[in-house]
Amino acid sequence: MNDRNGAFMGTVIGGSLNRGVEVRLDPSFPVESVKVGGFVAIQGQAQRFFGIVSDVALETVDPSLRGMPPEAWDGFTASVMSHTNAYAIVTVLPQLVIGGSPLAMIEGPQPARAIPPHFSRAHQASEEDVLAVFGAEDERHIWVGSPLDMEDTRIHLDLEELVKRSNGVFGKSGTGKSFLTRILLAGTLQKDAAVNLVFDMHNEYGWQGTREGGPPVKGLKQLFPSQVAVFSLDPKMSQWRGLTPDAEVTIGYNEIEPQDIETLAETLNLTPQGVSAVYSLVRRFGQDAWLSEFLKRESRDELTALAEETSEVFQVLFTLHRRLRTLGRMGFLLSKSPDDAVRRILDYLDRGIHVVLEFGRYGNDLPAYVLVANLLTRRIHDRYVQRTEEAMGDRAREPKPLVITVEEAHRFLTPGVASQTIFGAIAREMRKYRVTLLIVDQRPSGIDEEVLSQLGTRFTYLLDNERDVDGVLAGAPGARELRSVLSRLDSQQQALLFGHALPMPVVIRAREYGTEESYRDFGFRDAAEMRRQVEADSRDLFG
Amino acid sequence: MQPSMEPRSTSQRIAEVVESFSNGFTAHCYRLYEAPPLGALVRTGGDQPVFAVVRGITTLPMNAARRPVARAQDEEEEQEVYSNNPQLPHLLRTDFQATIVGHEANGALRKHLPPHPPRIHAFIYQCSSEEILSFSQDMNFFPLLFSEGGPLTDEVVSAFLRQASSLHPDPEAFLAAAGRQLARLFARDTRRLDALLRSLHP
Repeated sequence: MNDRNGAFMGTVIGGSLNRGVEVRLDPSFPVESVKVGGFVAIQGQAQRFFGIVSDVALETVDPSLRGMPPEAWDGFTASVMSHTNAYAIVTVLPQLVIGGSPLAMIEGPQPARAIPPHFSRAHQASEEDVLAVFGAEDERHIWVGSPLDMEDTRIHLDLEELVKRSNGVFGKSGTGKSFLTRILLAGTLQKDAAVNLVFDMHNEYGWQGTREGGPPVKGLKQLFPSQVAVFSLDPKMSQWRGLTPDAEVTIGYNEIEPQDIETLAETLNLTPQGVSAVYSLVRRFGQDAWLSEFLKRESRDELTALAEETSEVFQVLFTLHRRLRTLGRMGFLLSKSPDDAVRRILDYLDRGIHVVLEFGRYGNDLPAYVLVANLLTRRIHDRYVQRTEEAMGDRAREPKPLVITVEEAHRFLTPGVASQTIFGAIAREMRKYRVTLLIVDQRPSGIDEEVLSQLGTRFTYLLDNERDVDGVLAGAPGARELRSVLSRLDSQQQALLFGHALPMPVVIRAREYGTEESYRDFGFRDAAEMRRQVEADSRDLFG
Repeated sequence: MQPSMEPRSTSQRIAEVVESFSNGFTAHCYRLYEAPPLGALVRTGGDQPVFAVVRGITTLPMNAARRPVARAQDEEEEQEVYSNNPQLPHLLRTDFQATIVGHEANGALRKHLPPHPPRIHAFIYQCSSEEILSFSQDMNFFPLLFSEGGPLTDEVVSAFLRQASSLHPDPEAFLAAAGRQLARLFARDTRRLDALLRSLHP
């Protein structure tokens, strides 16, 4: 037997490209250790096929065996009949092939458009197979986790491909989304594949993240102090958590545009009439003054007068006024901001410094999150569009790819709204302007289908809701088979990865994040270690 | 292919072929009632022995026209009939029928039919333990054994396997391996398979 094979699983006896290849399980391979989502290699005549287990079934040669099973006490008959007349069939969905010729080896794995012939031998994928398919760790690949049942084997993700498109991390709460997101963020930082802008709703990524049932984990700023800047909307809360933010973000009323209000329509419960009234107000007072002027008019009489001036219905203005007063309670909104937050953030991003925007207490204030994320993203995106167009295809002058991480995306990428918001636009235009999204969400069904289908790579933990599963798998090839894999993930740590940045779908157990060793893997050195390093270096230099 | 089975001298000569077909033969035992047991492995002599499994034993009068009569009405013991009538062993004969399951050619054991069946008066030997052990290393002779059909075939097969199993170092494993071969042959006949397996492992 070939050394590069894992454990022998069985022989191909049928199947199809669409439904998957059927492998009759060999008696030497216990049926109980075949796991849906497992990684299988099948040696064809000229090519090697790679696939994932999508189903396991028990079969009998003679249908009457179902009606007359050997008596339970008769161990001999049962042991003889199992694996001969009663056997297991494993369905393997072929995903990739690697040809046998040297040229094909260089080209690497190609999508499977053929299936292995009858009686080909199927093996559990070996470490070498995983390497051949997913590549080794290098300047563009990061280690994200291990395949099922292969704890010592590493799956690597192509970051350069990843950041070319928008991506999504999904899973119900408590499954490990934030952990994987941290790994992806730390990976892009470590490999310098893109600059990140993180709208950190729950203060998890910048400084000290939480972990269920354990001590807090280090944030990006702690791991990469010189490469990460933390901005805060709520500096008091940040300081209380032991962090001095690099900058405080304030936003002036004058910066809020009608489009921002439009995205807030759902969270603030605004009517379409209310939204169109905002445009009338802008026409009346101008972009700079509309909101402060409008909020100033608190009395009934003033509003009646304003309704007449703008030929809007009084009741519409009255309701709008009441709803927009919510904005007045947000501490970071000032009538005139002393600082240009967007310019500051862009300055950092231009220098290749990653920005995490902490929301502090405002993380639980959804309108605040939607407003800020939308407002900043729109303006940063505008700049990126402008610069990319100015560069006119000159690679050297193009800005560095930017990945914007947003949480609770279903709140502002809902089917009705997505087409109008900046996030919808970014997801659709892909990498044209070098800005992409990393969506972290627990309700993918609430996200516009068009946006979902544009996501390049999807990382999904367990999802319970049928509609969420449908949402995540929308547009993925082999969705029916992936569904069975997805619905059987462990409730924690196991994730199904598929899409653009991966040659084939794979179920992984995410790599460790939170131990000293895991931090070191990301290149982190603690103070004592740094000092030792400096001392060693100076000894080397000066003797 | 398996190596030739030596030594042959230890096996005992018990009968002579009196009727011969491509797939089996009938042999006349030298001694009345001393046929090898059902399912026993026997072979012919010579350089190219033919192997066969006993599938039936018959005892009949030498002269088919003279039917045996009851003689023991006044005897106490069955055995006394024979001691008081010493002519009986000369008037009766024990034959057995055997199904050919393989032969030796050019020093190798082949589990298919020989080109010619044994000649009349060919010597028949009961196989030694070593010969049985060697012959039962694989079950490729099952198709020949089952080709005979007949209601007793399954009994013959299970008798052969029980005898052979006692010679193997791990009888359980031997029976399980043989059982799996049977399961392949009778995959579509679960009732028959079930009965066979039960008779293997009572």
